Amino acid sequence: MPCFNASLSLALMMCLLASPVLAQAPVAAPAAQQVAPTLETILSRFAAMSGLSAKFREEKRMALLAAPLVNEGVLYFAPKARLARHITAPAPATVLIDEGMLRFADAGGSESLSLDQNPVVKLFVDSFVRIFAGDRAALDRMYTMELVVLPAGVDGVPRWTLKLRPRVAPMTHVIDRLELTGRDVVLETMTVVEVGGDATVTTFSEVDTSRRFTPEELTKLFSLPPRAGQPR
Amino acid sequence: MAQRRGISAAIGFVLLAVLAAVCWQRMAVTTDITHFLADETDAKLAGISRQLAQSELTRTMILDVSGEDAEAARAAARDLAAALSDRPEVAWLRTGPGAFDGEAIHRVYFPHRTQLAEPGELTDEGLRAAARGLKIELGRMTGAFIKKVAPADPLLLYVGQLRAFESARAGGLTIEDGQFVVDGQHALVMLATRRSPFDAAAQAPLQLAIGEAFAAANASHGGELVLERSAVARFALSAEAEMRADISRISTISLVGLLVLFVAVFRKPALMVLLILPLLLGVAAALAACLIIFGSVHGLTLAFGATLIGVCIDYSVHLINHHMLAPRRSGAEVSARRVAAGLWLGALTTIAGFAGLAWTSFPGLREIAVFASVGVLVAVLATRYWLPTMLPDVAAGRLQRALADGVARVATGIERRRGLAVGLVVAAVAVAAIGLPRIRWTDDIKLLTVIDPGMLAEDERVRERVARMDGGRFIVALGSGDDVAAAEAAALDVNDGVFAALSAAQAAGELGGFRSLHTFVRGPSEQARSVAALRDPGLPARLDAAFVAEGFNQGSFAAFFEDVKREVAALRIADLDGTPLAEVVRSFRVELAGGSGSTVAVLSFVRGVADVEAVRGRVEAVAGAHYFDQAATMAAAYGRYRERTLELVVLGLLGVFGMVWLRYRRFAVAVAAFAPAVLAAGASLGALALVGLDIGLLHVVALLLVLSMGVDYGVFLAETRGEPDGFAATVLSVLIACLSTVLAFGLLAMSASPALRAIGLTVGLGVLLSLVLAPAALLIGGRR
Repeated sequence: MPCFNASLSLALMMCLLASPVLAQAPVAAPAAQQVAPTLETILSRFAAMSGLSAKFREEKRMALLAAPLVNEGVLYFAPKARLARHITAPAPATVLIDEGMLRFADAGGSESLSLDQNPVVKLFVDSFVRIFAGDRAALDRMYTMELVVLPAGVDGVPRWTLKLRPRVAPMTHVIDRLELTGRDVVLETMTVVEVGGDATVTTFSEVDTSRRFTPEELTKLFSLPPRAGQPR
Repeated sequence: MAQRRGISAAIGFVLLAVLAAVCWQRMAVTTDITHFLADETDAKLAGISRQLAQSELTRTMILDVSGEDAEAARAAARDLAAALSDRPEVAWLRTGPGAFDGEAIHRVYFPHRTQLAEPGELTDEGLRAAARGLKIELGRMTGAFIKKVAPADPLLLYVGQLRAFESARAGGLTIEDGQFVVDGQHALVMLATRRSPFDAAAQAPLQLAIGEAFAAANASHGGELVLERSAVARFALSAEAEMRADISRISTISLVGLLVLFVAVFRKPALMVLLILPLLLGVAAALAACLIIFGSVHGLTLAFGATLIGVCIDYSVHLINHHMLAPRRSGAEVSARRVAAGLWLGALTTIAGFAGLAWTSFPGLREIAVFASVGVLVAVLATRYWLPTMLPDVAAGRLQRALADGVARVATGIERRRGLAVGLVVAAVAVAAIGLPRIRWTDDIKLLTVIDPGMLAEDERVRERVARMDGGRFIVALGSGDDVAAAEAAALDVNDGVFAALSAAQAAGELGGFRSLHTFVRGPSEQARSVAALRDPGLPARLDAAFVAEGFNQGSFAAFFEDVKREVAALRIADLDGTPLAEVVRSFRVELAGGSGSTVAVLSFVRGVADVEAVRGRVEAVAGAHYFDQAATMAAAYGRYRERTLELVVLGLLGVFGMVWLRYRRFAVAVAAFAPAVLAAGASLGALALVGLDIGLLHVVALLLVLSMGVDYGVFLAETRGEPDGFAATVLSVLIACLSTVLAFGLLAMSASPALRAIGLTVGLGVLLSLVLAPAALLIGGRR
């Protein structure tokens, strides 16, 4: 049985995974680029991202259930590290990561967690901040990374798969690997494969890579809804 | 003969020196209010209250550093903590929760999850609901964690326990940069002291160090920060300082006043020293006796001791006055023999009055009984046997004689105009008759101590920020057994009933909220019921069917039923040692000492009680559970004691009257010696009631002093009723004694302490009335 912290961390990580990876999407505008991306170019685009919104569809496939659980919703990201993940179906829920706190609300109520209070969770959060920051050295300490560039499709744009395997405990006890797929520097899917075989596959669409938030939007979108579980 | 007198005098001084040395060596003053809690009535609740007063609950302090600059406040709190952490008086100190050891919690609770089920929820519909709940949980943010535990915990018993911890979190505490913070601006330092908050010797230096450490921290972080504290020790220190200042001021002014009075009357400084010596010996003996018997002396006892000046000095005044006014110079020993009967009767009646207090269940009042009895006894012994060995043969001065003649003339005048004496008595009876029925009794504990309103408000602000539970109001679940483990198990079982009652009260809107140990540890009976329900042979099939119907794969939860078969001992409070919860649960549990076997009290803390009687009714329907309001309980205890004291006063009076009657064998004389004191006591209480003062326990205790001194006056006068010269000397003695008492008590009435004020007002007024009524009564009924 994995420890409480590590297990909870997994949950947190699964929420967090979306943010830095998608953060690269806004800077993926030049679709006509033909040069095959490298890890460095992808990470540098991540670091340069200024704001983002995207729809997502998440499928959780687990041995316990006969059919996958599906969540759909909208994700917002604002530099430097503000993430809001609003699930709209099947039941409204919101996850926020901001100022060292992780907050969650749904129809069942709300919860919050100080990242300072839980160093293991903070480790996971930090690992994604490093991706977002394009911090190659830090990522090398946390993951072994393998970028596979696939042949360009009919649109002439090269595709790629980035596999990240945790190399530090307790992530190694929980996560087998992350698989990110993208087109040019735009992330299209993210798969988290857990130790044990369960997987969560998230597919992104309608990515707005040039999203800039007004102060009112920042207040509204990056806070828990007035009533738990109410979507934005 | 002179040599024998010298030896006797020297023995007295040696005794005084020895007693003074004992007092000096053992001196320990306490202001612990629990000394005045009954240990007989509601013994267990009083015991809880007393032990709570010494427990970690009261030894814990909260230091709140706040300011506009939150970062500066946090940094200053860290500096403050660093400066205090190494002090020997600090048992533990923290500014934040430290690293959260989730592994430890998991190790304790996960194996015990099978003891957390609610048997009533294991119906087919309940299982379907649990399956739906699990599915929802799997889709939530924490779904991955849920997924890991679900095969071995499909009912999410362990997860529910973790959520309960979160909901039980006290107050509005958040954690920022690893520090406890409230409302973003208040950084907290929490610490516990090793010794009692009432131990001034330990607490005063620590409070001083806190102030200095904060001043330094504030100076290093901008100088705009504010320190607020919540600490019982501050109130104890403040009360003690106030009381010490009062006693010191009153004793000093009282002594100066007495000296002026005695200089005016007796002229010779040597006589003034002699006057005070029996009093000093009496007070030293009383103090030493208390320190030896009780280990310390309470501030209120000391205050009371100061009032004994008024009683004990009367004896030496009486002797010296008679000696100096005696028509023939026949030596101090002869004078002492002449007044001895009056002295003994006066002292014995006083001791009889106070000895009654020794049979009460209030440790503090037993202490007062010992102090008064020993003090009076030693003072009268010293007056009778020590003072004459040093008393020179000196005649009265002009003023003293003129005063004696004057009071004799007044007495004669009153005797001729009996109507005046009768009028005085009738007026006193009228005041008593009108005032006594109007008495408003109060048993508010605030009468006993001084609470600085500013300090109280500060304390409440800090507690409101952190604990958000009502102070001094809680539910007690009591359990007894052959040993502590059995008692704790019994208390936990009772506490489960309390939890159910409080949950119902909260649902009914009678209660704002509560914190219960049930959240962390349930009783063994409830744990056993859970396991028994999960071992129902039909449950695995029913559970599987319910979960498959909600979309789960068949046979997913075999691991759970394997664990259900395992024997697991009931979770105990001690099992939480080494987890982050150990300190949290400690405040819920009090081990009660005394009696055979063991008793453990488990407390539940409540907030926002909207309907006290409804909540009390629900709680007290649970066998072994008590609704406990510390202030109300103490007030009730005081009320009971006040009534008991009044009964003792009445019984004591009967005894005193019996002693007086045995001495004089004439009803009229006995009444004349005795009744003025009773009338003075009644009239003084009546007068206080008429001016609108609330009357409490200490007023009643002060009545004992009035009666003691009043009876002394009556007895002194009755002893010399047939001797014109002696009667005049006695009236003068009574006048001087009364003035000296009023000097002492008049000042007590101006004390900041409500307790001292109550004593001062009652005794000052009562003694003045005694001065007027004692001669009047004797002149009316018993001069001859």
